[in-house]
Amino acid sequence: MVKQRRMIFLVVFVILIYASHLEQLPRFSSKDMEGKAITMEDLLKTPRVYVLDFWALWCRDCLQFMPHLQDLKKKYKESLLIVSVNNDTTQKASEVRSYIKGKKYDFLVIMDSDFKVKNLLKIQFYPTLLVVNHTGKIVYRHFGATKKAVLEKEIEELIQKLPPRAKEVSPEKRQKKDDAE
Amino acid sequence: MMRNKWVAILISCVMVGRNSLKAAPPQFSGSLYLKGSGNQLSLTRKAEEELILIFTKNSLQGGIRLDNYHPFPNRTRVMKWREGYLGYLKGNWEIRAGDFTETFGHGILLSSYRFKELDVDTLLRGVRGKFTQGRGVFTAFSAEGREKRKNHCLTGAHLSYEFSPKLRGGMSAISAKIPTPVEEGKQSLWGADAQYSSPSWDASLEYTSLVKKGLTPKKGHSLYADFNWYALRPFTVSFAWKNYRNINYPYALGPTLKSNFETANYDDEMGFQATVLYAPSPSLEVKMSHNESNNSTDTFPFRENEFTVRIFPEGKTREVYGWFRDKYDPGDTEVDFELDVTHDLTASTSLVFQWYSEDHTPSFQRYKVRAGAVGFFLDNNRYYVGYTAQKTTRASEPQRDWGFLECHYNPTNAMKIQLFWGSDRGGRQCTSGICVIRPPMEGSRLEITSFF
Repeated sequence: MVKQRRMIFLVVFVILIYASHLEQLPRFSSKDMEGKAITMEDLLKTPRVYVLDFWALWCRDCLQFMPHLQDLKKKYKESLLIVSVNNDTTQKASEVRSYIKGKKYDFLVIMDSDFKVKNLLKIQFYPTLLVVNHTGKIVYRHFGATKKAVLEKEIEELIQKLPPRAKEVSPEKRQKKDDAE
Repeated sequence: MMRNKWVAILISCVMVGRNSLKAAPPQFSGSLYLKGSGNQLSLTRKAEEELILIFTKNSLQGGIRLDNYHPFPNRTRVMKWREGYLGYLKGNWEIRAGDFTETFGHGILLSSYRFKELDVDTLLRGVRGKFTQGRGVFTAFSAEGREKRKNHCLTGAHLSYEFSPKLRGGMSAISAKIPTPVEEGKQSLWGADAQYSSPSWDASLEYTSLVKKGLTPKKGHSLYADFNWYALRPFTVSFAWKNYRNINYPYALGPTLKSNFETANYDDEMGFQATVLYAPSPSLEVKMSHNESNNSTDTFPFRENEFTVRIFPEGKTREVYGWFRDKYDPGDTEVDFELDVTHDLTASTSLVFQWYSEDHTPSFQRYKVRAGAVGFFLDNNRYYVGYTAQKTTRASEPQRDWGFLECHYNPTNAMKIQLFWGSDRGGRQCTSGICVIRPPMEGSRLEITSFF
């Protein structure tokens, strides 16, 4: 019996190792802080690098990392889209709004108060950062506190792989394209 | 035999996921979560496995979640198909059959969700349709509760409309049957919500009404309003007000207007919260908050003050965090304090120090809680090793001194291994950059999570 249990554990462990590779971002829809519908499919229409940050007001390490996300947004401009996914319940919606606007963070905030996106992307740790390439594949996944330099290196690596046209498009043209979409 | 079947399911699902991901769509993704723990003193050991699979093909999307739980001593196992859904999305239409979450307005009328770490599951099982046309979104559903709430039956609709980019409004109605041993529990609810947002201020308002018929009829209502003012930057001033009367039903989750540690009484509570956030630069944040509430007979006054300072200094010390709270209710007066420091020792190694204290003075017995933690992040947070000690003088707790060692290791981007050894008092804890709600625990625990 013990032998059998060990065998099962070994098999499952091997599967886990074998299964660890790139994951495609599933399709999801949610709302931003103003209640406007957001779909990941629409966001992915513009080729760029995406960082999905799962956070909550009670998670201090999440709040600690937010100024870095704002810096990264400023640095990489249209090549990077920060999608900040808030996982507080509806009870804290007003507090989330006042915190984000009060701190002058201007990245996209998704209010995932029913944890639909969290459960879809199987988030179990806070903060979790997903670095997604322009085709929608999750290339890097960070659990817990992350170093800004590490994230920066990964973003740069993925920006290098952006299709040439995406790199060439000027911010003005990109804005027009986004508006049209 | 059952175990072999379970392993076979796991292997086949994972292999299908793996192979399909390489090939053309449909695409699969998933996660596998394994948890095993042992305690030599009580000889209790258990293992939990969770498998989630999601597939997408053109307009179709579906997913399943399987849980397997087996405490070893009695060899009984519970393997269950916990969740499943199939969705169709085309143009302005979205139809979903199976398990789903839904929130209307601020969640006072309807808030259905699953949060595994908090062990909350109010998912609905049925059919839901969504139709978007221009500035309007119409949602309708008919569903029943799940597991312990299987006899609940809900039918509802919500219409939201964007009057302008700044103003949005909505109306909702729900007909619910929540039976009790003595009655059918038929109730009807309706609500209206509005939200305004501009760069200098934003506000929201929600009204909800409940009428319950049957042997114990009741009428309830709730009114909630909040206002955030940004014109005085770097100050942000917030004010929120609530009035809940007989609005307590299993799918309601209105704003508490209290700190994270407190809940609201949806049967009878009225109160407010005022907050000032001072954020002159990205490296400094000061927050002061005060809230008060009471019931309609003025017999349960509640007061709470919170003060938080967060500094992100330039240089090797990354964060200094200080938090103070004092709380008063008729049963207890509590004063809490927390200090955390995160310091970079080298470019890839960090030290985290945490200190936490709670002083309670209830009418029957005073008690204290103290906790301290030291941890190291190594190799750019790939490894974490930390020790936490906890002490309490509370007579009703099973033991007074607790201490545990934690090691975390991320071998790949898609895998996390966590090892725990010792005894943990439980409760809400944030260590190694992760915040979770933990039950009391003694022994050792190994958790492996893999994503694919």
